[in-house]
Formats: sequence, C-alpha cells, structure tokens
Amino acid sequence: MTRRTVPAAGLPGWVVVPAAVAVLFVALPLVAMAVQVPWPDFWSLITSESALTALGLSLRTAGASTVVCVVLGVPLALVLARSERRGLGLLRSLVILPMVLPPVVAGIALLQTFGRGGLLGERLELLGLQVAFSTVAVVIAQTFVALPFLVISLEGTLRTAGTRYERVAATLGASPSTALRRITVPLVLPGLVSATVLAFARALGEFGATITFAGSLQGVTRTLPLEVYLQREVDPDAAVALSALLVMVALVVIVVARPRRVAR
Amino acid sequence: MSLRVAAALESRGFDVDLTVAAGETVAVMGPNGAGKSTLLDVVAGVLRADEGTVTLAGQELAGPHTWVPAHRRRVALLSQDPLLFPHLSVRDNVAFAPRAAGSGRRSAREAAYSWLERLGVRELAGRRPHQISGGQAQRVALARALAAEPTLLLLDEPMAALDVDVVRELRPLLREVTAARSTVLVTHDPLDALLMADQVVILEGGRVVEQGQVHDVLTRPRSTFAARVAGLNLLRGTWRGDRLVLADGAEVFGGSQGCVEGAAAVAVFAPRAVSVFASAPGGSPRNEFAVVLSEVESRGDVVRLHAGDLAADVTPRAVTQLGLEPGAAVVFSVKAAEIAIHPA
Repeated sequence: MTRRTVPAAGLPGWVVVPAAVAVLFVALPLVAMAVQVPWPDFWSLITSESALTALGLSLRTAGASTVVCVVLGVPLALVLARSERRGLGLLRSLVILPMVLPPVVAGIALLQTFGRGGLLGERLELLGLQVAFSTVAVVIAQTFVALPFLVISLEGTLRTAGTRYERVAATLGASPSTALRRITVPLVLPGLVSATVLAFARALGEFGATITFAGSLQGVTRTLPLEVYLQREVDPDAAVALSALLVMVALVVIVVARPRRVAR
Repeated sequence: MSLRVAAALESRGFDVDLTVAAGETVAVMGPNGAGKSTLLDVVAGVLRADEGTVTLAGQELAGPHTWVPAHRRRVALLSQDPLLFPHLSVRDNVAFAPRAAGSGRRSAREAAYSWLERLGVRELAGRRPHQISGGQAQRVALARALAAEPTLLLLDEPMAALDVDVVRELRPLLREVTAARSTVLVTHDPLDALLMADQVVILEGGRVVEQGQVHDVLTRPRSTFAARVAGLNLLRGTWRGDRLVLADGAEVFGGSQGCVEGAAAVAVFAPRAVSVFASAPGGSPRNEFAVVLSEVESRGDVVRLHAGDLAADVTPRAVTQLGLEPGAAVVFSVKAAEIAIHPA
C-alpha cells in the first residue's frame, strides 16, 4: 500500500502556499542573521566586558521580575479563573492591556507613576527612594510587561484543568489552602512552568519600557537588548553576535515552554 | 447520628425533605433531571440551597445563618467517575484524607494500606491512577472516601460506568461497606436499591414523590417512575366502590387493599399479565384498553410492546401473527386477578 501525504480533511490545497510564505517570512531573517554572525569572533564578542555586564544585568533583572510575576500573577490567575464575580471580564481586559500597549507608552506610564513628580514618586522620594533610572526601575518595567503573559497563560491552564479534583479534595476534608497546595498547583505545574518561562522571556527581551523608564546606564539599567541597540551604531558585529545569543536563549525558552497537555 | 435535609433551590425547581436514620442506607432514584445530583451537592456542601437546613448527627451544616464548608462536613462523595488525583500514587490518593485531617505521613500511609487491603487492592498501592483499570480505580476511590472516615457517605451512581462483570464483583463490597454506615446511594438500578438500601426515595421534578421500604415501593409502586423501575404498569385514578375510575372514564377491576371511596389510587400489573388482541375479545370479565402501539422492542425471548405508559410482553410469534408494529391499533386485555389496586 502506498501512502500519500494529503492535506487535513476539508482543507483547500492552496492554503499551503501562503502558509509556506509565512514560514519563510519568519525563518529568513533568522537565517540571514546566522549567516552574518562573525562566528570566529563570536565568543570574544559575547564575552566583552560590556556584553557580560549587560548579560548579567539582564539575567538578574529578568529573574527578579519573573519572581515578582509568579508571586503576584499566580494568585491573580486563580482569581480570574475561579471567581464568578461580575466585572471580572473588565478586570481581565485591564490586566492584558500591557500586552497590547506599545512598550514606550508603558515606560511613560511608569514614569508618571514612579518618576520624579509622579503619582507615587514624590512619596517614595520622601522615604529617600528614587526608583526611576535605577535597576529597580528595570525590574518594574519588565514586570509590567511580562505579568499579563503569565496571568493569561496560567488562567487558560486553570480553566482547562477544571475544578473537579478540588471538589473531591474538599469532600475528603482538605481546606481550600490544602487543596491549592496539594492538588491544584501540582496539576497545573506544567502550565505554570510554561507561563513562568514565557514571562521570563518577555522580561529578558524588554526594551521600550526599560529605555523610557530606566534609561541606559551601563551596569545599572543597560540590559542586553539595550546593549544590542547601542552596539548597532558602534560595533555592528557585536550587535549581530549578541542578537544571535538572544535568539539562542529564545529557542531554549520555546523548547521549555511549548504548550503541553494538562494532566486530567 | 442521622441526616435531615429540608432544602429548596428555586432556580432548579428543587424542594426536598428527606431523612436518613443513623447507619441506614437510602437509595435515591428518579429520572434524569429529577434533582438527585442537586440533593447530593446540597448535602456535600458544594451547592448552597436558597432556603432550608441540612443537619447531620445533630449539627446544623447549612441553614439561614449557618454554613459549614464542604471540607468540615465529614461527608464523603463517590461518583461514577473515580476522579483519582492523577499526580499521586494510589497509596497517596488514599492517604490524602488522613493527611488533610492532620495525620503524620507514616500513620496516613498505614491507614491507606489498611483501607486498600480491606478493599482488596493493596497490591496497586505503588501504581499511578492511569495504570489501573476502571473497576480497580473505583475500588481505590472507595478506599479513599472511606479513609476520610466520613459520618455520611454519598454514592452517586458508583457503578454506572463499569462493566457488568466488574459490577458483579463490586456490588457485594459496596453492600458490606454501606451496611453499617449512613449512606445516600443514587442509582438507576433497582437491584442496587434492593441489595444495599433500607429505604428508597423516588425523586421526580425536584420533589420526593414516593418513599418507603425498597421491597414495598418496588412491588406496590405509587409513582410512574417507581413502576417503570420495577418493570410494572401503573394506572392512576379514583376509587369508586369496587373499581378504579381513570381520568378518561375507563374502569379498572382488580384485587384491592385499603382503598378509600373517592380517594386517589393506583392499579399495578406486570407487562406479562397483558394479553393482546386485534379487537375486543369479550367473554370472561377482563379489563380492556384500546391502545395504539408506539414502540415494539425485542427483549430476548419476549417482545415488549409499548403503548403510551402501558407495556405488554408477547411472544415473537404473536407479533407476526397479529402484525404488531408501531401505529397498530390493538386491545390490551388484563384479567382482574392480575391487577393489584392500592391507595396512591
């Protein structure tokens, strides 16, 4: 018996053409970059002092904002997925807003909040805290843009998992906190890991909000994407090498965070 | 040590008053949508009634001013889907309730082993839920529910999803487990009710329409549903002197017991007591019902004819001889001696 590959049932054959164009559209720039990376100097380019400083800062700030995202985002996702109160739809839209907002606008909004003369900035200043243009500002900017990714992704997982097991746990005498710890979280763990990695990736790539709200001070606020942008003018080879580094990180993220089936 | 539910939920048209004595098993039967699951949810504390109270062993669990959450009720629920926690081993599933109640890891495990042993599935302790069969999973789920040492056990069609062979094995076990426990058992199978329950409650449209000893209800049904479960025909009417007069004026003669003049009563007879004729036979005193067949159903060596709420069992030969098919107009005839009439 011979096997032929046929499109899935009901799919017109011509859709393959634009689909292939789409794949090329995404793949070609990556190939172009890979071709032009000065591979012999790659190692020395990504281990230059400024690159290492930026990479270190990026990993620390993205790590910190990921922790904040998990601490604040998991409870928010639980509320959105499990509460039946009215007005949650509105709340959800509000939470997703940073996902669709131009990052520069996010940066401006954060300046209006935490910057000099901002809503909270003045009070913070009275306490001797200056947030804008500090490493803390980088973490705030990254958290602001990454939080919705974690919340929305985890909320979907929680909804898919349903509440049947929590009900059983309750009839077995488990308090809501026990059920959360021993049933809900373990059941959605794969989804939680994906959501966390997604938030980390978004934080790591943050550029617009960071440069607006935190500036670009080497070792303090200049993360890897900012360093790439800066090097583009000074040393294009370094910019390409660092970009390749970020692509590799992104690939690792996709492998770790690819959608998985939730245990049922 | 008894359960009393008197609760109403307007949105579901649910209004039930029900008592389960300590150690007693009550079977709850009724058509789909009768409110059986609502009843269990209200008792388990998963659903809150608009009004009324739920009292268990002298403690008010739900009322106008009280609400004990599900996890503090000591009411365990086993449904047709075992819902074993997929990320825990069989042993840890069963140890879950003791752990939640504050037992240490070791004593919770010992309790789990002992319950698994009692239910004959100790050798599965190390497996994951996806590695065991449906029947085994239901045994484990039962062990898990019992390990919570509930004051009340709720069983929601616990064997509905299992193969006949597995049911045969599991039924004696459930019977043993429910014998000394206050249990509410929702079931579709009259055999479950007969073998396990002391009382049966028939729910219809969110109300209790009938309740009593299982044997009485199944042999002398007063509700249409109970009659159907018992495989009997049931006709409602009013007792007039020596006969039952139906709403359409038809008269039914039969052996009667305790009927009161002018009061509602029901006539009950088995489908096999019905003879079928192409036209009214006359002769000996019989009850005759002119009907139009709605369904003809093969049941092994007999053929069951349905005509509205009435059923008759005939031989396959009679079906060909009389040309019995849906739409055919025939006469159902029943000897008075085959009909029992009792108060509704």
